[in-house]
Amino acid sequence: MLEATVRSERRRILGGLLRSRVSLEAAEDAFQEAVVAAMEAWRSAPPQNPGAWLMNAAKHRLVDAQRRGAVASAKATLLAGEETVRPSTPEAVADDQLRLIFTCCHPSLSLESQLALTLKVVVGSSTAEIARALLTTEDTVSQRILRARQALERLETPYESPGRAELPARVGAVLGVVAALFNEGHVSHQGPLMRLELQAEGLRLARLLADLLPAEPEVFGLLSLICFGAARASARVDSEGLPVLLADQDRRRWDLALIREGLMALQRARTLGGGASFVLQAELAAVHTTAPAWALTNWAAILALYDRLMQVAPSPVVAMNRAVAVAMRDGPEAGLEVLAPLAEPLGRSHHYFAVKAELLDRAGSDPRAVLRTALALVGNEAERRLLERRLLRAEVARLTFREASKADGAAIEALLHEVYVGGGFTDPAAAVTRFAAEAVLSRGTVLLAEHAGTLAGMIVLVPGTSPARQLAEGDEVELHLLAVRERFRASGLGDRLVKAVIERAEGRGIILWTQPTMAPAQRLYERNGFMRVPERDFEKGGRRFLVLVRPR
Amino acid sequence: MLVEDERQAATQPPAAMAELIARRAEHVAGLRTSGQLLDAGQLRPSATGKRLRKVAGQLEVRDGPFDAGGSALGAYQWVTAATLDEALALAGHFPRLPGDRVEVRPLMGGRAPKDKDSRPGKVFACVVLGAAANEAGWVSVMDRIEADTSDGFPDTHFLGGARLERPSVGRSVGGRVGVLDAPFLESKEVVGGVFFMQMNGLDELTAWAAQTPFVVHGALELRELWRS
Repeated sequence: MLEATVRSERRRILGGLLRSRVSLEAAEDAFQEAVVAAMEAWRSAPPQNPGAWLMNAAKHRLVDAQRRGAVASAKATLLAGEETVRPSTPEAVADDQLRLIFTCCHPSLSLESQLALTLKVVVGSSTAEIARALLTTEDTVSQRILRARQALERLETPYESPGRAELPARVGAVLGVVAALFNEGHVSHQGPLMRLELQAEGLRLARLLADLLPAEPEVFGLLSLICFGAARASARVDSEGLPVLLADQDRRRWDLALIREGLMALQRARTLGGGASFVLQAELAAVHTTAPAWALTNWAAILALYDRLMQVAPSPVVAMNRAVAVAMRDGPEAGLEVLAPLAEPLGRSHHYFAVKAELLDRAGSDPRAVLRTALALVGNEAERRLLERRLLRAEVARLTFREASKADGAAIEALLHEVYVGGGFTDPAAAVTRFAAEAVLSRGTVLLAEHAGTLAGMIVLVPGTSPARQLAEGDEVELHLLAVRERFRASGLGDRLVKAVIERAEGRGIILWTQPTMAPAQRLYERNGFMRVPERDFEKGGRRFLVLVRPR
Repeated sequence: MLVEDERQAATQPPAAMAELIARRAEHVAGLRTSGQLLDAGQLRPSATGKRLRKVAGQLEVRDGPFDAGGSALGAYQWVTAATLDEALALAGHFPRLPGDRVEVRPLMGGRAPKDKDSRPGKVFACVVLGAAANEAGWVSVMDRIEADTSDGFPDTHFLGGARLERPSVGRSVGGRVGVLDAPFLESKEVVGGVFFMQMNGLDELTAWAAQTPFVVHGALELRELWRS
């Protein structure tokens, strides 16, 4: 019971104690002491109202501490006159919780300190949990919280909570902290892509704020924005942990309950007449979220919203996202034009270079140099791997193939052993003769793809006249020994090699066989026009082979 | 009262959800402009609600959803109309999904909540339910509840509410059968009133509701409202 009470009541009680204008540290100490006292007392006699019990105990501890001289005497008199009954009207409870939140998000603190203090005091996380969430050490977190408390002590009116009338002005700072918390979980600056626990706390705090400040449009804008972001979370990472861009996400995996909550919150913001930054960002997210597919996104609506956002809260990042919308509506060249003047303010942002590279690529220009710049700036591990993959794709797209000669024999043997024997597709004993360079070269045309001086992949075209042909009928040609080195999987190299064979087949039918375990290869063949022909499947050496044909 | 198929509502594509939400907001704004609207609200999914009643003196608390067929109260509008037919016509325009039904019932009295969407904390609809073998029995259940609760609401939390006329004087539009006369009681729990409470959370509301006569004579369904 104690643990549940502490979890559900801590914000109310701490906020209630702050009503007496004591320091945050004194309030936390008193609360801790009350919890320790409860451990003992509740064992023999569990209270009727655990929350009220804790509140009263904490208040007594606070008075005791003041009598010990820990707190200035002026404050002690103030406290002595306080009523000890816990407020229970939702208004009073809301005020207490807001006081706590406003204290932790005090504008005089740095954002980092606000985050750490909010997690510690409002959420109730341990120092270790905060360190893990913010990817730093426990020492750093302790230091940050200590400094934040000292900074708060120095303020003349330390825990003054704004009256309901002046709330809106102060709300902005709080929303900024909650948004930062969620964003830090959503797109971490370092380390893994998403930290779901931070994201969940951001969502919880946004919901809490909506309960506490139900007439503030920006609160509902932020809640809506966070709901849409959280709804897409499971579709944002692929099976290898790499980020999946909005354009490529499987929209069926989005969470419909969160989308509905986001839409309801957005409607509330509209009813309240909101047109500020978070509401506009939520409107943007809503346009994306309600589009059935990336290609069917209403780019005119997106652009109109970015134009309004640029008026309300102009920033280089907003301008960059606007350039993407321009590119989607009017083509990549138009987007690049809008992007150009942002090179100055965004020169240190990998996002800027990633966007520029994408637009260059779509405009048919070489994105490699720009991708290398982005790679030099990126901090998040998953995003770095995604950029590396894009750079590799750009490089693979520009590779030229050449026909193999006898001099390539050793490299070919090494590649085939690595891919086929290493992958468990060919028995080592059989490989010695099958992959002997001379035998391979005599099968037909061997095409090689080289990257930075090493062999990245190969493929063999066996003409109908070759003695090495096994299944080809009529003027069919055979495709043998497609091999792509591990590092080049998913880089587009396999597709390019198969397309090169298709081109050289000059319209003749192509036949190939593969093993059931080679699923990625089958998908590759199928997207290049090959079809399964189960009646031609066969078995050989204890292995089953599936036959695919690309008709003439 | 909109009786909706919650599973249908929950699986709409996002664009359809957005459209329905926007149309409902427009509809409510229109009624407000014409001066006919006293109050309106939408209920969060019944899966987040609770239903309380006492069986042989023992409190029974059920978590939602409450209907195996997936139907639940999804929204309400409290309007003034000269006749039942006029109210029924308004109900016909209540934006809803195919198959969803709007039940129209005259009120026996009560007061509409004010500014409920702007109150801090959480705002709940408390749906008073009664079960009886026939309508006369059901009416006497509701009479008993009213007699026992006439002075029982805490001012600091109670926002308003109303008792409804008996089902046979109400009508229904939509659903699979178009306009329907009075729903039949059978053995199901039938709505006899709704009131609104501003609370810090569902647990607090549940603790309060468990002590009230509502759960002795009938049942009380507690559902948080969306802010709208």
